[in-house]
Amino acid sequence: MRRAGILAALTGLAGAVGFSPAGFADEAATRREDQLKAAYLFNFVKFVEWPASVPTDVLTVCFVGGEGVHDALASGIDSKRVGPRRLAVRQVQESASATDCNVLYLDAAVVPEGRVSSQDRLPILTVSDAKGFARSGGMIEVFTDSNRLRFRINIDNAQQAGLRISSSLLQLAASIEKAGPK
Amino acid sequence: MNVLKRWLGSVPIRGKLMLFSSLTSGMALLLAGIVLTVADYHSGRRALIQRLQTQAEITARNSSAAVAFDDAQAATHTLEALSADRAIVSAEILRMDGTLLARHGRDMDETARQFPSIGEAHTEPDGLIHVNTDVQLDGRIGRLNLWATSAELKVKLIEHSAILAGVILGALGLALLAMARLQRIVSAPLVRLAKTTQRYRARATTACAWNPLTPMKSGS
Repeated sequence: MRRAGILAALTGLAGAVGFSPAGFADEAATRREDQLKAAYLFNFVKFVEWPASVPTDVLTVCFVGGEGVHDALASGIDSKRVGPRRLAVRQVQESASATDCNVLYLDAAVVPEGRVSSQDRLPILTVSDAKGFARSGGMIEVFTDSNRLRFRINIDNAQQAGLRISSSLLQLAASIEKAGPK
Repeated sequence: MNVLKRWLGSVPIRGKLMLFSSLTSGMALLLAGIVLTVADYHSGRRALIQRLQTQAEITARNSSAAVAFDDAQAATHTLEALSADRAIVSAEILRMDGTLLARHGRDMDETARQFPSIGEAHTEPDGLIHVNTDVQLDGRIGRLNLWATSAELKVKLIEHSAILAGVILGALGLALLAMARLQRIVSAPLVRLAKTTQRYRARATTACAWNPLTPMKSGS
């Protein structure tokens, strides 16, 4: 009886602040998807080799948008390492330079058309959930297929930037694009 | 035992020599053969375990991406490559939390996963050899289990035993032939001695039968 009262009070409170059970579910699903994307991002970097000229002590992942993914990756970052490299994350503005980033995550909301500049072919791994990203100058495009997160890789764009993507990762890709941006 | 002794007593010296030589040679050959077969079986088992551990290591490395991305299809595809080795009856990849990500071959029960510790081999009650290894990607992200049958070792054991039996029989046959020829060197003087003794005894018996009261015949 008391429990039912508490539940009613919580439901009322949620309603008062504009939340509904469906809203909670959506939020949980979005958080789950962000966590999954962060996990994928963390795994991607383990299968990519940067040129020898890139410093090997810290691996910086920059985010343009994608706060949820950023927060998920930033959670417990002290324990996250990529080989000998420490992981660092930071948010950057769309217009800002990303020259000191090793990985650049572009949120679909920020680059809806999926077209990115080639970043002057700097050794930066570009990842996005924007549609057509891999065909528009990007390297890894993350998408949802049958409730499953998948990805396609543009190997030419990666090679032109001096990045080597492991064959193990290529095997898992839904498709491998070879042509550069048209 | 008495029957055997009696039979041995009735066998001529030549026969006895050949029999005892054959027995000792045969026993030595059999003992050497058994020792070699057992050593060969254990060596084969060690080689099989080493082969399985190598296969497990290679497969674990090849499946690290599939485990990292929780891609069951890719993991199963990697495991399918193990079907090239006929000894492997089951292979599976477990996630970090111990849940099954992918399997190829026979479904093994939970108790079969208890042993061994990493890098060691364990023989299951049904004779299967179990090896496992960690799937690593900047630390442990999963585990790979392999089970293999030791049937190839049993087939080898039977083959070796058959070859060994053939070699022992052939060697004994050759030894008997050689002995039949060579035994004369040893037994011929003995036979001659025996014959001389027999003749001497026969003469002695004749001499003992002589009665001094009986007049000797002239010329005897």
